[in-house]
Amino acid sequence: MIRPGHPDIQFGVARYRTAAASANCFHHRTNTYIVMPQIWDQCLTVLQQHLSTQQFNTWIKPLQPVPSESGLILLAPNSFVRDWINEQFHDRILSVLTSLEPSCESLDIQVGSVPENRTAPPRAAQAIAAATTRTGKRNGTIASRFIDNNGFLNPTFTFSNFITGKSNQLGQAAAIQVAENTGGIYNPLFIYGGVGLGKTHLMHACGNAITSRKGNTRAIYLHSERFVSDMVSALQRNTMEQFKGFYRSVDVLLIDDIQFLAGKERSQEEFFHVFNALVERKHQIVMTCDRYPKDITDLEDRLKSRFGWGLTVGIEPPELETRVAIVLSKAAESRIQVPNDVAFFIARHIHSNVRELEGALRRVLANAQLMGESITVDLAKEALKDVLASQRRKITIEGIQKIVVEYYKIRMVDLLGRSRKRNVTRPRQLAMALCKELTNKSLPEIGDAFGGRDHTTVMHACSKISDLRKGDRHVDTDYRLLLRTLTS
Amino acid sequence: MNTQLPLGLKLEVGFTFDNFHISPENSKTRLARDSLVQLAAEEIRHPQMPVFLWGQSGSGKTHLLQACCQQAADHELTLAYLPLDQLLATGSGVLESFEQQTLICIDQLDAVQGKPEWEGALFTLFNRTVESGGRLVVAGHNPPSAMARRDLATRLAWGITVELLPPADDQKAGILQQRATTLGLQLSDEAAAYLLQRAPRDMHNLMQLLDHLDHASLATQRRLSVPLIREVLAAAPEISGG
Repeated sequence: MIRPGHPDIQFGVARYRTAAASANCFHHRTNTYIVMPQIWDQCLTVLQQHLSTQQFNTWIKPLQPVPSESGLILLAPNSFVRDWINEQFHDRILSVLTSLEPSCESLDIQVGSVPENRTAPPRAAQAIAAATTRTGKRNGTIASRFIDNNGFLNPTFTFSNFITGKSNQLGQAAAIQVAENTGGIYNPLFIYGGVGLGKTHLMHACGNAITSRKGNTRAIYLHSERFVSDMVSALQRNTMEQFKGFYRSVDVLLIDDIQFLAGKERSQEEFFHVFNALVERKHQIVMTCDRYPKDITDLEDRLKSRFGWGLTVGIEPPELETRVAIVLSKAAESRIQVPNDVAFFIARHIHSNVRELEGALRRVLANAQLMGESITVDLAKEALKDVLASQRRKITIEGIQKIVVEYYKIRMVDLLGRSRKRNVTRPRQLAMALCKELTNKSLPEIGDAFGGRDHTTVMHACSKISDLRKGDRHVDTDYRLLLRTLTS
Repeated sequence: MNTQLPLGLKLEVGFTFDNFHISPENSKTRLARDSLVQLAAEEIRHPQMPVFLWGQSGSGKTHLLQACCQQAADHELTLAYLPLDQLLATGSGVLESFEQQTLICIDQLDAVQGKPEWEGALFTLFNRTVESGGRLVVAGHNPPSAMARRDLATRLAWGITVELLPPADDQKAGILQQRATTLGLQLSDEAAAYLLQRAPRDMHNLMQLLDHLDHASLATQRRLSVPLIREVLAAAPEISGG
């Protein structure tokens, strides 16, 4: 077999031998009728010899053959591949086919796929297949995608490996409740919180718990943009009925990052109906979002209010102890013991989200393994040097001021100026409080950086914001969003 | 119709793991290579997702990515090598065509940094690759945090992130000679030293220059000597930084 890197065949059409010439050695001189897929297999063998493995695997392998009256139709996964095959490979493929079977005179490339015929799909997948037959609306592409992938539930995300602390225990408790009492009063379950805090983990854990308890439950996980793109392609292919039939018939719908529906009116309309159909039949919906339902802009009010029908829980960035526990537990999953001081070191420096915490731990472990050294704070320091440096670089008073000004859409001169209007003083106080929280600058230095104010003004701002956060949800949301922006 | 694409999808000759130069003291580069070797293996249980390489031009990112592709191709995995700078003109929709590949190597990430449409497409690609158990390698000049989208930035930082450093000056001659051998050329110590004194010293430009010299040597049927290098540099001052 010819490998890429072989200079004769790898690059540029000019260096290929012609397909027709090479196909001669496979020429069939029999009059027996040859089934098309069989010809296609032979054609693949020829093509494989004359294309680089990369070209072959990328473009040729995904094609699916369907017999046509005078030859063959090849189904491409999307229009991009179709156009590319037409432009680059059509003639070559046809000449190989004709040389194999002279009666094969035409080759047509179309977008589409042959329904999958797998022998033993997993249980949940069978349930999804059943869903499509039960509704009597066969939805080849959408349903089969979920069948092939076991509903897209990730088995590695479970409740047992979800580390809880004050910041997320409510979320976990709610998800467990939902798993035990599907379609009950917590429908929908709406989990919101910042990037990388484990919302998706909880959602999969919930789905996994449900399907392991009731094997025939049709639970599917998807990201909301997948919902949108499925709908767009259903519209293009005129298969909206199948689309609706599928999504409205699942038992458990786990949909991630629902904020991506914002501004997409048609998708919102469809989702509205999916939502109603499922809730009406007491089928469970779990959603995640990066913010509170009411704070999603460009989302229809009827959806916002529906999202709040069941239970809405927030997940906060984990506090230090939880972060340490996460580090230790993740390391244990890899069967590696991390000393406590190293776990503390990592957790103290990576505070914004769990995803980056995991990335940092992976890096430390990989470094230790590679260098054959034991896991120490010094090693962690070295492994995370650039992360730590970029963090130190990032958070400055000026940086905070800039982010705050952009967030509130006010002018920097006003933020630093003398104005006492509410729309300026509140952002100013927030910015000061953030400076105290995120930098090591002294209060006089902070006051100075805000147009030469006194340090007592900074103190007042900090206590004011602290009080307001307890009573005013908007101030609290703003503060958390800004904190997240600055630290992630 | 995108006639630019073959450029974007081609792999360079001879960029392999074997001929990737790693100095003994550069453990990060070794970490990067080892992570990619794992990712290009025939079967892996839990891919470390994604492997993210960053560093200035000439630090070996493209070489590593392409080596990863070569090895994956040897294992008959489906794969895509996507240098985003060359795919810019095709529009971000192009990424959708590759989400079913087992291994996706994204190069030149900075070309799309801060472009909402592309960052959105990458976000989707990431999610779908994770969903389908695919493997992802991303390389660019900046660390993941440089992306405008936070949700994308944290996803890119989820796996192994390695900063690559360019080789030190005293290693460059050896690397050039090795590359020359791969191309079927012989680059003497004297010629290599001459090159390093006269040409821009970053590896990316040096490698391009070597390709240029390869063509010149073929065209004129001369061996790669100091006089030939002098002529080529004089004839094309733009590639010698002059």
